[in-house]
Amino acid sequence: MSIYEVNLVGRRVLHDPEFREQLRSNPESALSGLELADEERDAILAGEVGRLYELGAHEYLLMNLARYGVLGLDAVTFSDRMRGASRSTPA
Amino acid sequence: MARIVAGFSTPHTPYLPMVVPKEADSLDGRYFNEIRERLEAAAPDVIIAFDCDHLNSFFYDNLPTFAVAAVDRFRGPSDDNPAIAPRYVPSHESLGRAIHSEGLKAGFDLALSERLDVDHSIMVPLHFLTPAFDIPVVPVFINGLAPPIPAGGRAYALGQAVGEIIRGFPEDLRVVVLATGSINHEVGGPRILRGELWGAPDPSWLEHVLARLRADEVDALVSEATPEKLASVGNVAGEIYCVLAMLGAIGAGPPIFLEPNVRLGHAYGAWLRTNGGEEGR
Repeated sequence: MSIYEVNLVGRRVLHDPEFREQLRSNPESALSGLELADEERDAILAGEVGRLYELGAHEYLLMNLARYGVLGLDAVTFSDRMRGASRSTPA
Repeated sequence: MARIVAGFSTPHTPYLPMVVPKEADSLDGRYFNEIRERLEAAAPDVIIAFDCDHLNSFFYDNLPTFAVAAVDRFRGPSDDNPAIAPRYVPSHESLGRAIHSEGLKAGFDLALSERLDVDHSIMVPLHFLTPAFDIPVVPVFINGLAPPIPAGGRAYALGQAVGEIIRGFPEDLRVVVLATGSINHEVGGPRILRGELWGAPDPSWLEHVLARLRADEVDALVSEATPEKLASVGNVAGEIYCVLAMLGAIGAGPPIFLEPNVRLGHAYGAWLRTNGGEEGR
């Protein structure tokens, strides 16, 4: 698992405007430099934040994706996908 | 010698600086004013600010449980707040350094930061409480957000140790201790409201915390505020550790002011130091 790199996506979308723009215009290329598992990469590209949470990503960082409207996420899609997600123990 | 003159607790919800000016007589606007007036009356030379950060100042590449800044100034907010332009805030380097070195001797292995950017957890309260950002602030960080978080008793004991360090600090300073954060709150997690990025999942916990604080039952609250309990309340409920640390530092009795915004899951509080300290000027 490379959940650190998933969390890094949430961090960089907030702190790195260039990365944010790239994630908006060409998400696959934005992720190309990160060491993500296929499952993680697919979930990020699909904006499946509930799945990413279940894989162990920190939800506060995932929220940055909705804050900046990347990967098809906004408050409505984010909350639809995050609500009800569950994992047994906090990561 | 330095003296602790008061303790305060406020939320740091990042959209408050955007919405408060638009709402005439909003609860949050009134309560921030109340705390600001009390803080001004306490006339601090330095503010010690216990805060939890949001993986902005510190990230998973190097994530401390406790940390303190020994800097002459820090910068914030680092997390893009439309109502607060990024700026420098003065700090008090030697007091920060004393908290680090004396903290180690007292059994608290705080991480040391000599260069710090802070997020809304420090800058939102300062925006309302010290609008000129001119009072030196020493940030003391407690991880209440990224599990595993420490036991509540450790946060309280850290506060007690910081209080001792302040009272042993040789400069003649009036010190206010500030705690920032929410009590019943979820941000970006599974318990957010439909169509929103936040929720306040467990109002009964907020009510319980307020009752404990009003009755000065801090020891009971400390033992109840376990990581497991807080995780069951909301994903930022660990921010109550900042309140516990503040209370430990000032050695407080009951609050002289404590009012909640139940809808948002946070509260505003003011305490005077009671164990031998001078109360106000």
